[in-house]
Amino acid sequence: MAKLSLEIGKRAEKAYYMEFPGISLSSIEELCYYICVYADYMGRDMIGEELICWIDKECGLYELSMHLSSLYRQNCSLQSFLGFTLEYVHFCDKDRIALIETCIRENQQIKASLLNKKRADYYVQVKKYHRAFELYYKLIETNLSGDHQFLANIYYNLAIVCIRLFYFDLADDYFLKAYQLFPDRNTLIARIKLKRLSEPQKEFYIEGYLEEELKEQIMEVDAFIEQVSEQFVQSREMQVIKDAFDKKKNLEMAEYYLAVREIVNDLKEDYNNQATL
Amino acid sequence: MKRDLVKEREKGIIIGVDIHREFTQISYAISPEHKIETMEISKEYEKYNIPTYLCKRKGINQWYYGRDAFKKKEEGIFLEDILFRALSNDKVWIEESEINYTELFTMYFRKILSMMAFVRGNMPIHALVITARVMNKEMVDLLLKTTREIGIHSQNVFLKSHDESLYHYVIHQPKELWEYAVGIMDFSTDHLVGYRVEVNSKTTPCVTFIHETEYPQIYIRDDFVSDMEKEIYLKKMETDFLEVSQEFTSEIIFSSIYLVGGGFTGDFYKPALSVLGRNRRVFGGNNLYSKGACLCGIETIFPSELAEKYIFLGKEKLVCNVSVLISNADEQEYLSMLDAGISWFDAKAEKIFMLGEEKQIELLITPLNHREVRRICIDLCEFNGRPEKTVRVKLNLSMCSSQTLCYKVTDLGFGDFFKPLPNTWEDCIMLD
Repeated sequence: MAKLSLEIGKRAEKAYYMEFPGISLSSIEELCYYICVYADYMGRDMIGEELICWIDKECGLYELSMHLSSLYRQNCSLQSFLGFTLEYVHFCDKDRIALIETCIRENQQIKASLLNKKRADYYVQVKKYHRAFELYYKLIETNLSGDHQFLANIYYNLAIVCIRLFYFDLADDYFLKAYQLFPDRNTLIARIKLKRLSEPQKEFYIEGYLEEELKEQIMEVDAFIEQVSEQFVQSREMQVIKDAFDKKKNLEMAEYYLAVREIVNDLKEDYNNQATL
Repeated sequence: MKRDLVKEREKGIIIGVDIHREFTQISYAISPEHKIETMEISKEYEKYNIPTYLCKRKGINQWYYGRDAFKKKEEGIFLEDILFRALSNDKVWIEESEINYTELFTMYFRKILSMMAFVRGNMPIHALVITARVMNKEMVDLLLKTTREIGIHSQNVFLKSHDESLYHYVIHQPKELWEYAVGIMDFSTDHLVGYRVEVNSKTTPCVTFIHETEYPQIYIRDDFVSDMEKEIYLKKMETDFLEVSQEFTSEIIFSSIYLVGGGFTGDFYKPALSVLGRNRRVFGGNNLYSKGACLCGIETIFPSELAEKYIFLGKEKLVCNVSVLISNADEQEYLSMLDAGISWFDAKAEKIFMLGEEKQIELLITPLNHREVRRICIDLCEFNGRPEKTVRVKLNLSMCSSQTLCYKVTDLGFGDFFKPLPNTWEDCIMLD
C-alpha cells in the first residue's frame, strides 16, 4: 500500500454531488476518501441507483457498478456496500476497511434524526452555519411531537448557530423555546450571556424571572465575560490589531495598510468559509 | 462493393523527405504494395535534389523555390541555406519587413510538399517521415513547428535520423544483399562519410547497429586557381579514396556497398571500384535516405514481419527501458513508461498516479547493455502528511537528447478535498 498506484477508472466529466457535507466527487478515489473521512456520518440516503450509475458511466467502472447494483438490489447493509467499494479500489488495507465498516454499522443502529443531528453538529464544527441552520430547522419540523429533551437540544444548537450568524433576536427566541421544553441551567446561562453580549449597556429581563432571582447566574456570566475579554486582549488577533494601530501612530502608513489588508483578508476568508453552502 | 469502400478509405500516401543543408528529396508510396517513387525535378544527375533556395520577386508577393528560385536569382531577392539559418534562428530584412528564417523554411517546405498534389489528389497523408543526418533538439523543434504550421497532424509526422532511414532501406532489400555487413559511402555532404550496417542475427529480435566513420581527407573543393591545382587535387582524391576503400573493406565481410551523394561525380572513385566490388555488389544511388524514410513510414503504418524480427539501435535511440514502481492491488510491479529502441525525440510518456504513503516516485532505468540498473527517486516531500491515495500527480517523461531524460511532475489536486499545488517538480537525468 505504500507505493504509488495508477488511477482506477477514469475521471468523471460530471461530478457526483454528495449532499452531506456539500462535496463534489470526480473520481472513484475521491468517493473512497469520502467514505473514509465521513464514515461517522454515513447513512443509507448516501447510496442509490444514481451513485451506481455514476460509477458505471462517469468513472468507467462497469464491473464494480454491476457488483454494487446486485448488492443494492439484495438490500445489503450500507457497510457491505461501501466496504466492497473500498476493497475493489484497494483504497486502504483490510484492517482499515474493517474499522470503517464497524463505524458505519454502529451508525446504522442510531435513529435517522440522531444521525442528522450529528451531521448538523459537524456543520457547526466546520463553521458551515447556514447548512447547520437548515438541517437543525428540518429536524425540528420533523420531530415536533418527539422527545422534549432532544428537541430542546436542537433549539439550543439552533440558537448557537443564530449567534454565529449574528441573528441575536432569533437566537433569543430559540433559547427560550429550548428552555420552555427542557428548563435547564445551561440554557438559562446561555440566554443571559446572549443578552449581556448583544446589548451590554441595556438592562434586560428574562421571562418568568425577577432580576433578583437571577443574581447568581448574572454574576457568573459577568465573570465569564470578563475572563473572555481578558483572553481576547491577550490573543494573537488582538495583538495583530494593536500592532497595526501602533504602525498608524508611528505614521508607518504603508505597513499599517498592509497589516489592515491582512486582517481584512483573514476575516473575509473566514466569512467566505462560513457563508459557503 | 463493401471491400472496395474499405480499400478506398485505407488509401493514403506515405511520404519520405530527406533534408540536407543544400537540398531536399521526396520519395512516396501510395500503398505498402506500391513501388516507391522519388520526385524527379530534372533529367540531370542530381535529378531528385530540390535545392533549399527561395526567391521573392521584387515588389510582388510571389515566391519561387528550388531550381526556379535559382533561375530567378537576378530578378528578385534570393535566399539560400534556409535550413541552416532557420536552425540558427536567423532573421532577414526583405523589402520592408523582417522575416524569421523559420517562416521561410515553412514556406519552402509547404511548397515542396505541394509538388505532391498531382500524385496525392484527395488522399490523406498516412505518414510523413522526415530524415536528416543530425536530429538534434533544434532540428526536431524546427521540423515539428514546420509540419504543425503546414497543418499536418503531429501523429502522422515521424522524424528519423539518416541512420534509421539507412536501416530501413537495407532490411527491405533482398536478403543476399545484407547477409553480411552493408557499406554506404556517403558523399552528399562536404566530405565523405562511411556507414557500416551490421545485423546481429544471433539475438531475438535481430539487433542492427550502424557504425559511422568520417573521412575528412575526402572533401569537395571547387576554389581552384589553376587547372594544375585541380588535377593535383583529383589525383590525391583518387589515391585517398582508394586507401579509404581498402581500409573500409578490410577485416569485414560486406555483402554490398552503396555509393551515394552528389560527391561521386567525375572519375576519382573508379579505380577504387575494383576494391569495393570484390566478391560483393556495388550500387550507385542518390535517393537512398528518402526511400529509406518512406519505407520506415510504411513499416510504421503497416508493420510487416520485419518489424517484429529486426530492431535498430542507433545513436538516436533510447538504449534503456524506463519504468515506474507501482503497486497494483497488493503486488508491486514496474510500469513501463519508455521502451528502449525508440528515437529520443519520439520518447514521450504521460501517466497519472496516486501517491501512496511514501510521497515519492521511483523511476527504474534498465540499460540494454546489461549495465547496472539505476533507481531514481523523485521526492515529493511537499505532500508529506497527506493521506495515501489523496495526491493525484501527472508524470511526464520526455528526452531532450539521446542521453538526457527529463521528467515533470504536476499536482492535479484531489477534487474538493485538496486543491492542486501551483508548483511543478522537474529535472533532467543523464542516462550514461
